[in-house]
Amino acid sequence: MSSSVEAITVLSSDGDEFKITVSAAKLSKPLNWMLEDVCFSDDCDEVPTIEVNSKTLVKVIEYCEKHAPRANSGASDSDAEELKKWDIEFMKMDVKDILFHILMAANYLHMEGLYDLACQTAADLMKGMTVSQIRKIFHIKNDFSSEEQEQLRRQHPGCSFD
Amino acid sequence: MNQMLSDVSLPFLPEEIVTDIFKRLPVKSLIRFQCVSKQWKNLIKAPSFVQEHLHHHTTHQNPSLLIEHFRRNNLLNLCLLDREMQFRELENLPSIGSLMGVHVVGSCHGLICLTDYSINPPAPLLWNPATRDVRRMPVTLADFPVFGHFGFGFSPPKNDYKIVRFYGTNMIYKVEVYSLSTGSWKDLHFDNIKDLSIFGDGVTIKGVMFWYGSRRGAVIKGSDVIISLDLATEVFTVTPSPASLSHVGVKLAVCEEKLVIISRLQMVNSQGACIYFGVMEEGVRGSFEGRWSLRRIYGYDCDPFQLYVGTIWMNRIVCFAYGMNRLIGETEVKMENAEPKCGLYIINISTNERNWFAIPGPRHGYCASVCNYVESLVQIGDIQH
Repeated sequence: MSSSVEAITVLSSDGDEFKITVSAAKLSKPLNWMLEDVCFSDDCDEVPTIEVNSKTLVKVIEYCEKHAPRANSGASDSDAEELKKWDIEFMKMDVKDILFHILMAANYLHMEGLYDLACQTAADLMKGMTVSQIRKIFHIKNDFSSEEQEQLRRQHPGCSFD
Repeated sequence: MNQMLSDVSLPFLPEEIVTDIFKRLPVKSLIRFQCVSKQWKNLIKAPSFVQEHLHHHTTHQNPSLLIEHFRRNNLLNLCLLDREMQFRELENLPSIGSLMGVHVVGSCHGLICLTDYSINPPAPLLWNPATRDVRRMPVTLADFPVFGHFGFGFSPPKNDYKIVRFYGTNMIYKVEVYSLSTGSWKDLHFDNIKDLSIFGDGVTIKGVMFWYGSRRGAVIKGSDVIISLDLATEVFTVTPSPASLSHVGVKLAVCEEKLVIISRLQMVNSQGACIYFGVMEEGVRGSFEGRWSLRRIYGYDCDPFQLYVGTIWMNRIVCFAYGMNRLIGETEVKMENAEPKCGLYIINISTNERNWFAIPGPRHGYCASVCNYVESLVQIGDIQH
């Protein structure tokens, strides 16, 4: 790979092209491996595909670009504090409807920071939910028999299956 | 909240990811989510997940401070101070009958060890407030009246929780250990500590339990000792203490996995009360003094005679303060009757920042004990009466 390359092009699973800077791509081990494997010279037109849909990939790249300077050079406490605030805002945006996709992507791309952030966001959203809200979101059917429900109620008085 | 997630097609999350979300959830939510499906129930109940959850909460979250109050009615009275400095009542006290004369020994991995002093010998019980599990240890018979000290801790090599009970305070008559894995009491050899007096309940660090003690009757310099018990080998060791019982209220505590001694010096100068703070450094060989890094911390703004050290919490020294005008702040109306009002004086060891906290509610009485507490799913079995 030529040292003059500053950004690379990748394809999403939907076939859209995205640019990501080399320093940002380093946040992900698989992306980093791709950088080493793929030929980026002018006469080579192979574009690597990342198995993440476009909507999610936009967010993943946004996260990488924001976090890259700190990850590559280290940062002061005030930077870390600023980044923490940015993370909270980042997760507050329209990210909620693609949170699970982000979780999958961060796991697949081995991005520890984003994965932890997404897990914590999911936990914060879930913790106050009722059992039926959870079943709806996770597409889970109640598979307890009435005897099993009765037994659970005895063990945990006040537990609800709705 | 429902709308945020439900209106889109969501991918199926593999169990690995679900587990990583689960371990960040509070115990209360997980207990509720056991009712979602059989798969979720098995996942939440799996011993490996209980350990993962505990590990995440002990390494990523600061513990709460468990505060026990003595009140005139002598009923168990507990509240929690969380890392955001919010007090909350500890609900659902164990349903084991009367809570008269029941007091806290210590806490480990979300389990709280209590002792029922209304029974002779005092009978310990374990309680997980988050799961509401409670278990009374089998009562043993003593042919002489006893009042002793306890210790509760975890022994990593045996993956077991143990409760130690001393018979006698000024002289040790008998020492027993209860193992949660065997479910029974056992006598310990204590020849090398039988002439010692013990002060207070023990603290545990990395499978070793420590108590403060002294050579009987001697309140002279050099007579204080630290008694340790390796919970795996069950052997006692005695080492001299750098502190002295001429200090007021010597306490052992844990700070960054090291043994710490805290006490208030009787000596008072223009800088106010002086708190003595010693950390036992590991792996330091040579002279005994060399093992301890000692500091004196001056309390500039408090009446020294109303201050008692409690424990170390989040790198802070927690002290009890009694009956001070300062505690009648915004949260308090006024001092009613003659009973002292108890509050906390908390000193940050690294920044030296100090804060006062008046414990909210009608809580006139003495603060009895404080310890660190992290909620967990750790099971202690079913209720045994």
